[in-house]
Amino acid sequence: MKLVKIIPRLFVFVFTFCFLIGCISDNYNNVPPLDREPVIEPDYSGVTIPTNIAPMNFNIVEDGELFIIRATSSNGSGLQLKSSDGRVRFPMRAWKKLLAVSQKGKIEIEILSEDNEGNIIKYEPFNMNVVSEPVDPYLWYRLLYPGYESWLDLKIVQRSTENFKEASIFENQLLENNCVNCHSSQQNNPEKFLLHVRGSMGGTYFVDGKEVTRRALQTEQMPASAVYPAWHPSGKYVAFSSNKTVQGFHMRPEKNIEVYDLFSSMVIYDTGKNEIAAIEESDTVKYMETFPSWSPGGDFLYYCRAIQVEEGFDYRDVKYNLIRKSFDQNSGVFGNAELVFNAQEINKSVSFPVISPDGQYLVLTLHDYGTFSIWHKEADLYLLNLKSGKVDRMDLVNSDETESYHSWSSNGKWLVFSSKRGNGLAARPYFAYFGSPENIGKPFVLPQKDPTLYERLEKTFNRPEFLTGKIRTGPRDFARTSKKEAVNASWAGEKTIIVPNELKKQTSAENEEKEIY
Amino acid sequence: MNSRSKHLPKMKKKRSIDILLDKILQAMKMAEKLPVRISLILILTTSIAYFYFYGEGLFFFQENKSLFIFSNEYIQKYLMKPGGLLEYSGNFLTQYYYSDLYGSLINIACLILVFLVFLKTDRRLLAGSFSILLILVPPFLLFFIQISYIHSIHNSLGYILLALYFYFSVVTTGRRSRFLCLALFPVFFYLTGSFALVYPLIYIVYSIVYKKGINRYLEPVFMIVTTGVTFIIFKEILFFQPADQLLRYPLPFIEVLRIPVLYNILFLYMILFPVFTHVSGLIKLKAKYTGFINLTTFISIFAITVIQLSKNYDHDLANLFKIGKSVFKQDWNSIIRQHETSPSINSNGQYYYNLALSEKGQLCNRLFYGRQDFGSKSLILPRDYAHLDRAIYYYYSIGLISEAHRLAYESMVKNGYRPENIKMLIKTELINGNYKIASGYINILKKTSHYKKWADKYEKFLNNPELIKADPELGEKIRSIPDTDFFIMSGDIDNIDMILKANPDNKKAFEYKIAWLLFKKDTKTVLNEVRKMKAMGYMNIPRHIEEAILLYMYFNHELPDLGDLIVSMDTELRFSRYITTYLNNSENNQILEREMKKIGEKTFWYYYQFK
Repeated sequence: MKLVKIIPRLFVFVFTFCFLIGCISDNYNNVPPLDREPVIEPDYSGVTIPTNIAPMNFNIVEDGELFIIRATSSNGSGLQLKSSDGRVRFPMRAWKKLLAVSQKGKIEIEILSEDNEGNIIKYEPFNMNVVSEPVDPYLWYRLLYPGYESWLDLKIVQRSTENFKEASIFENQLLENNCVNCHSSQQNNPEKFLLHVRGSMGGTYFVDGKEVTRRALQTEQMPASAVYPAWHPSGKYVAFSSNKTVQGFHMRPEKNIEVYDLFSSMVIYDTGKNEIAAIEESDTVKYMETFPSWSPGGDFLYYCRAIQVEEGFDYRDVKYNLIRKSFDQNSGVFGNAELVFNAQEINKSVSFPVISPDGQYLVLTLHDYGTFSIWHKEADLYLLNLKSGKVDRMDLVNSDETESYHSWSSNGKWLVFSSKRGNGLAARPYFAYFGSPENIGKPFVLPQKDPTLYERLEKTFNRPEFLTGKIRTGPRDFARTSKKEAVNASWAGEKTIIVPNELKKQTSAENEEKEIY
Repeated sequence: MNSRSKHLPKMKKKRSIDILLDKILQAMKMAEKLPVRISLILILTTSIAYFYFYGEGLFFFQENKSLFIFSNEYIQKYLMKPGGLLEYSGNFLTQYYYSDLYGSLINIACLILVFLVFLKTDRRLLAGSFSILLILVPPFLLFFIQISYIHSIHNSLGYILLALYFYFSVVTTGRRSRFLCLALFPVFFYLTGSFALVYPLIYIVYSIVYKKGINRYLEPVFMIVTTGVTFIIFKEILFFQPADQLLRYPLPFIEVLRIPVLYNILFLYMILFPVFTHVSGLIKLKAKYTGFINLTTFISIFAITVIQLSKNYDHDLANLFKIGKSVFKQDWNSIIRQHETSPSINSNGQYYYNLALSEKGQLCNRLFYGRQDFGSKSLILPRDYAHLDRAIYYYYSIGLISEAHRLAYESMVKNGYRPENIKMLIKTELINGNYKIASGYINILKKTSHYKKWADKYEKFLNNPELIKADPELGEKIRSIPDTDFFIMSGDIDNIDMILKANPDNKKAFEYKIAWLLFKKDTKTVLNEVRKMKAMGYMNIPRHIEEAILLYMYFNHELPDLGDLIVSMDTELRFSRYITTYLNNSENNQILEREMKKIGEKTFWYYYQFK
């Protein structure tokens, strides 16, 4: 067929098609709306989102052969999409434009569906609130099976929050399938961070710019390895808790696993001198200390503390309180321990204290007992006002399932936390806007290019944290560093860490290092 | 007579000569094809006879090593590493191995393909008097590789592709196209992984033997450079794979990281194949000698194959696979029957027998009817990696559902999706009421070809606790979940004690405990446990427990408290006969064991006395 014949025919076809679609759209406008919103997954109805977030793609879980989706900003401009399978994927450019014109306003999403007999349903529209405060451009997390003891492929991944690009930072198959955990950056800094590797290539890997160093932090004075880290804001120190952790497997279906410490204490590591020391030796036989967290100024170290367990203890009786110690940055000397929040008093236990960048608020996880809230269904996030000492449950962000690990964005306006509200097993990263204690947005899960991904992805997002930029270090950098010998840290303290004798015996039988999730 | 008619008889004569020549040529071609046909028949008969009649358990085992899922996520996993697509293709083929006929056909097809590629290559190189021998060796080596249970069909595909790539390199004429063929090596490496790394060696040998002039050196150098550069790019830029993984995947590695020896022999043979063909081509024998060589080749290869098969056929392994198949089908009667008629000498086989007895409520009635060589070790398997997949069933059987679930999950993380670990995860999540998670696993099985129906059946249980309770299997497991919580311990008997403390009526756990005590020959503790039996709902004492009671009474001369239960007359009579036989033959140990075996081999008494 000649081109001169094809072009006019094509034109007629396109015109007719557009006309018909236009008619259909007009028909839809006259349909009375249903008195309910459509069911969508993830649930993005009523959420508060930043202006720089990636397209909030979702899946419509309603019957229909064709869906029409209209996203309209407060000023009336918008975009329209069609979906035959219910999957809604916003084009990147159009989405960014929509966000730009919706700042401090709303995006209204209207959905219409049509079945194969031509019946049209118009659902009640839902909104996404757009705030002007941006979220940090990257998120990093560990991706792994939410298993018990075994692991095979472990990764630490960075994901852009502004689009769907993701890249591996660490892949354990390059390091003889060793375990990796506890990645932590210095105040969301992509240039300065650390992570632990356990196994044949073991050590704590410190990244400073492009330089990666492998260090062995556990000295003979430490009965357990350095575990949970907290970077001092200056970057000069890292506080660690040194924990001897064990796990037990429940035989009733309500709970899977119990992870608890037999002993734990706080140590401080000087990154420049490669020296490690106990924070206070005298406490180690009386208390178990874990989850360090610095105040933004670096003047206080917050952590969780429980009475040291003894042989035959009941794990359900172990309750951690929130404690802090002052810290003199010039002399490196700590003050006395102060009780900040007595959780034991209300028969609860504290985990993961994290302070907002402005130093006014502290978000913590509160659960019934113990130290490892990840496997506690009742674990919820609470907000502690550091000025008034008032602790409130963050009702809007919590669910019936576990909410546990959380961290702040660099501007203090966004919280990312892991929640198992999807299926109760795998954690997903949820973002919550924090304007003030009275103005907390409904959280939303990290958007994905394929909105059905979370339904299929069995892996869990562990320790999600924001980053102010992209990490330049990649898996091969760690693999190269792993070939070098680890540099041993030296003990700078006067006394060794003391462990109750009966617990020493209890742990000596465990010669196999196990991964705890 | 014109000139045309003059030439006619001559032409006729010439035509008849042509026809005759054609006939001779055809006959020669036929004669040439005959050895090839006989070779094919040899491969077919040997492999059909083996795979179809003896391969049943083999295919079952291989099918259960992986689970092919029709999804993007599944293929993506394999796209991320060189050689992944080969394994993906292998898994695709293996998914239908539940049919022995299909499994046999696939394996036979691989052998035929290898034969044909080598035949073509040989013809192209320098066919000689030993051609048939040279081209029959690879399929028969591959045949012996394929009958090993650690073999996966993707490895056969790897060999076929390797042979094919070499064939194409040989048939490619013209310098440019040959370099182009070699330049495709990175693609070949991506497709076949470590198999590709053998190719440069084959090509170097081929070039040295067959090439002349500058190409004899230029092409091997080009090949070496291409391989080196490809390897570096793959390792440093394209894939997050360590060097050893690039070197060995997707070849099978046994625990000590060695490639099974036959794989290496076949590789070595392929590397030296150009030398062999060259030497064979130089030896030009008369047709009758070639015929003799071919005949000798057929007879020797067939004889070696038959001898090797009969020598190396692992009857017990085949038996174990057969039992394993019945476990997956939950055909407990068949397992009991098989072990009692054709006993397994493998601890896993005996473990399955004990499991089947437990499932049928016969553990303390028939424990010693089947062969027991491992005592309590075949009652409960260790929860280590080697036993993970099998150990699960015991915990599921006695009602420690959370532990069965944990082990199934560990198996999934360590071994990837396997039909049995996913099925166990579905069942245990349904029993524990975690419907969302169960739904995820059901969706995985729904994307398979063979397990879709199974998944559809279990999908009906989602969010329907009443239906689950009404199901004979799931309902029973729900009832056996411990009423009170405890942590699983490393000591097996401690766990049974804990579950019995939480659920005193759990008969399966109770009988496992008694079986454990019987294996330990601890009759006193057995006796102490008998007192609880009436309250548990027992109306009669199981046979082996009665035997333990009588033995205890015999040695200790006391009448124990049996908690309102009595030892049957039949057992007392049997014991009386056993003791009489013992007393009559006690002076000669050899006769004693023989006579006792006759009268009481299937009793606890015999186990107590002679094991």
